[in-house]
Amino acid sequence: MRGGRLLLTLSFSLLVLSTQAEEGARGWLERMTQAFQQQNYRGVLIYGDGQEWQTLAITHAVIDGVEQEKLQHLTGLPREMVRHGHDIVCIHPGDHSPRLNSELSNPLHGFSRVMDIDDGQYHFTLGNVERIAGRFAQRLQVTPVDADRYGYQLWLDQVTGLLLRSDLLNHQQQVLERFQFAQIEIGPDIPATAFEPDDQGHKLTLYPVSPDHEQISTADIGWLPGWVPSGFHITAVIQAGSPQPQVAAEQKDDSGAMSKLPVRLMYSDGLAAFTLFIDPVSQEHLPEMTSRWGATAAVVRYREHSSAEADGDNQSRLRVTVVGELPADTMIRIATSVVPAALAEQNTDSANSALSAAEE
Amino acid sequence: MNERMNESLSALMDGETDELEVRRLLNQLEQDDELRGTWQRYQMIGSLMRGEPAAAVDLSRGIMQALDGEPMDEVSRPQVVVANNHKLRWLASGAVAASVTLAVLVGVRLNSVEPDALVAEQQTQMPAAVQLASAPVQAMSEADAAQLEAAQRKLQEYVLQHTEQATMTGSRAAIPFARVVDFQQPAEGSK
Repeated sequence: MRGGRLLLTLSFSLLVLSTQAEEGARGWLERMTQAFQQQNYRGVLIYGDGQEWQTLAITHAVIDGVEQEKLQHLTGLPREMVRHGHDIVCIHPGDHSPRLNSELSNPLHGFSRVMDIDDGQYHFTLGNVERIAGRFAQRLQVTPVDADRYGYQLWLDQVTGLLLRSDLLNHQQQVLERFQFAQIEIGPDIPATAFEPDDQGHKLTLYPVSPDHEQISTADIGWLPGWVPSGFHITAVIQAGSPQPQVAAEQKDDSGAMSKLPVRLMYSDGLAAFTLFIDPVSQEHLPEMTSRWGATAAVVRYREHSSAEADGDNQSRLRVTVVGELPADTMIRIATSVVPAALAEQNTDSANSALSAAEE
Repeated sequence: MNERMNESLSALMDGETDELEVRRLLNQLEQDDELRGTWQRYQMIGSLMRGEPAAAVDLSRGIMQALDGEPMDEVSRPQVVVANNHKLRWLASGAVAASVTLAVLVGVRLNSVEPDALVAEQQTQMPAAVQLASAPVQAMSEADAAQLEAAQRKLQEYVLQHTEQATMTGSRAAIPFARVVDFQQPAEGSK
């Protein structure tokens, strides 16, 4: 649709056809989303990146309006995860349980909508009907329009729309991550007892997720990325509510921006997502690095900013970590674009539609 | 950069290079930015192909230390001596590949610690042949080990937070969940 009016007029009939195809594909995506949340299903799936494969048993049901889910690892160390609504219990041997939000006194500042997939970031094409896990599945090709996100091939159950297989593809069409049911039963009655943890676990998190559509405000955030890929919007803002124990005390006299750390910002274009962690430099010596585990990558960068109003050698130094299912180059660009919010807003109309990159 | 250098780098990644060639390449890497870029990409690709976390850190120092017989990997002293007698192709697949793998694991540390301090510490320690996975911890001073562990834990925490959040906001709920569970494996697997 970006081709301009002339092209649009010339190829009008063609466009109508392709738009209809896109509509069809989007219809399938909506069915997929609903099926994931509303269907009862029980099956075995494989998950991996072509080198390492894991087998998982998954059980999902809606009981009294609350989603219940249980994931059990069938390979490697026995681990399982049970979800009741938004409560997650994680069970595994050992004691390495990373505590979530350990630094954040106020877990969720603002939270918002489940995103619609943004127009113009992906092309959707319906493919053939193929057989996955003994069921007929409609293949759906999701092609990104730029190099800042990955594409997908999705196989959706013809009857329910449930996702039976998903391939995440890089730009060389290599599979970074595959998720595929080997066997599945859709629609059985599943009792609540199926979701009792087999053992005592530690609770991963308890987020008060509010599905309302309240506008997320970035007004209070000291640091923002000067650039995010087109189509990405903030979906969650988590910010320290009160001064941090040690770090914040040290930074007390610093510019206002530093006292508002750490900050977590989550962005999504509806399919892909990344989280931006902005922390004061602390005792954890994370080096600048780029790591990838299948689909998920992490980029660590340090940013420095000498504030003009601050006297002396008052330099703000912070650590920016980007974690997400995006190409590493894109994530590096996001990380290195982080600047004090005042500067970020000079570059962009709003943080949500950041288009121009902040030059370092 | 010419074709030949590309081939040499590729051979280095595959552990098919003799020691002199390795040293020559590493020296060249020091001086040539473009070459170093390619080398880092190769390392990353290699790690990805082996299903390891790919750290974009320069492994050349680690390899150089391995060449110098410093305890960077599970290759014990006698083997390094054999390697110096360069009839053998430097135990190529074993030693280089292992030190590359190890350097990926300890790569985090290589960049975060002053190189001099690192070398000094290592000379005072003579770790026996150890399991590859536990080597980084055992070959390090306790402070370093704690630091690396803290860094890894922090990164893990970040990834978990992201995955969690994605689960809550995303539509394809089961996939991020599988990611959470999957992500814990490397940490536990390296017990």
